[in-house]
Amino acid sequence: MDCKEFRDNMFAFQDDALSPERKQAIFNHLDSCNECAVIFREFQLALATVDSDKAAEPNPFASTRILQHIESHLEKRSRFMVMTKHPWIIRPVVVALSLAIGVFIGINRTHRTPATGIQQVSESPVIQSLKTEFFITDFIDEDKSFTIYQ
Amino acid sequence: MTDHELIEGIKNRDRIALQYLVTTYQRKVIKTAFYFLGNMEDAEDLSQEVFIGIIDSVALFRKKSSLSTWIYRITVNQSLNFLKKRQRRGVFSRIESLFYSDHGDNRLTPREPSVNENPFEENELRGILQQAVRSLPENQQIAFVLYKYDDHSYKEIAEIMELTLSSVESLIHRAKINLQKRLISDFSEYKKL
Repeated sequence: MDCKEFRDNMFAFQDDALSPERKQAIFNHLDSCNECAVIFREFQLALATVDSDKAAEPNPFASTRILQHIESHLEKRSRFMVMTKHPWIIRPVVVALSLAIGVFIGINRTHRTPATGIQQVSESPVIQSLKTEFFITDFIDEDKSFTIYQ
Repeated sequence: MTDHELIEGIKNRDRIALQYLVTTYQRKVIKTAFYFLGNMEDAEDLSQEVFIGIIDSVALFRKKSSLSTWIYRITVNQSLNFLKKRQRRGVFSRIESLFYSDHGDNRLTPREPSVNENPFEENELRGILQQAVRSLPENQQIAFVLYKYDDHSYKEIAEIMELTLSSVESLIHRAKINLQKRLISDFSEYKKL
């Protein structure tokens, strides 16, 4: 038996699912091949961790925590169900709220009506003095036009 | 309490039925989740969601299988969903770590063995086996865990997975072959170090 054949049959050997002749061939190979012997040992030890995992037990208070979680979930659900069970209260309230929000948004927007035009340059002291000197009534920045909000 | 009485009690949110459900099935649910997740705390947390899932979807239970088979099915699905979420979080944290400080190499490396000592500690071996099992295709992973860890028969696994008996046998056979290859590769890599 060569290494490849041995490694292809490790699980079957571990599970005792081989004929007596093949088992003997594997024993012979393990006696003669140190590398396969080491790998097989690690393989067996890794599979042995399955037994220690099977022995692990949950916290003895786990069922109490589960039941508390269920209670809190059922409580939330029943509050939700109350709301959906009384539509003759909920619907008018929702409609009234939607109208109020719509009116509020509408009022807010009318205070910001757009006005296009030419923006007047703000009057700094320099500009004021220039106006006085040259009898100019106003400066207008004709290059730029802005939409300003009153 | 029979399965039928229990199902009706759960539908009616009867507290005695809910208590019976939890006390009867919580150990099986937590242990099955533990075999998939590898962590008892995570398994206990997940079991809470499993029972909520059972209560919320009991009206959809068609009684084609037994109640315990159905509960196992929910537990397996929730466990795999949890693992997928954890994997996605792992991808994000690995991407994050590229931009932040280097946390160092987190790979398990075996110690230098003394003459008769095992190169890997038990926890390391458990981690290697769990990683190998999680690397299997999903159906092979489910079949192998239910068979090797949860000691279900092929017939029970076929009912839980809604497959034929021969499909389950084939899945477990392929799972063992793939695990064999993966473990040999992991242990051989160590020898090269």
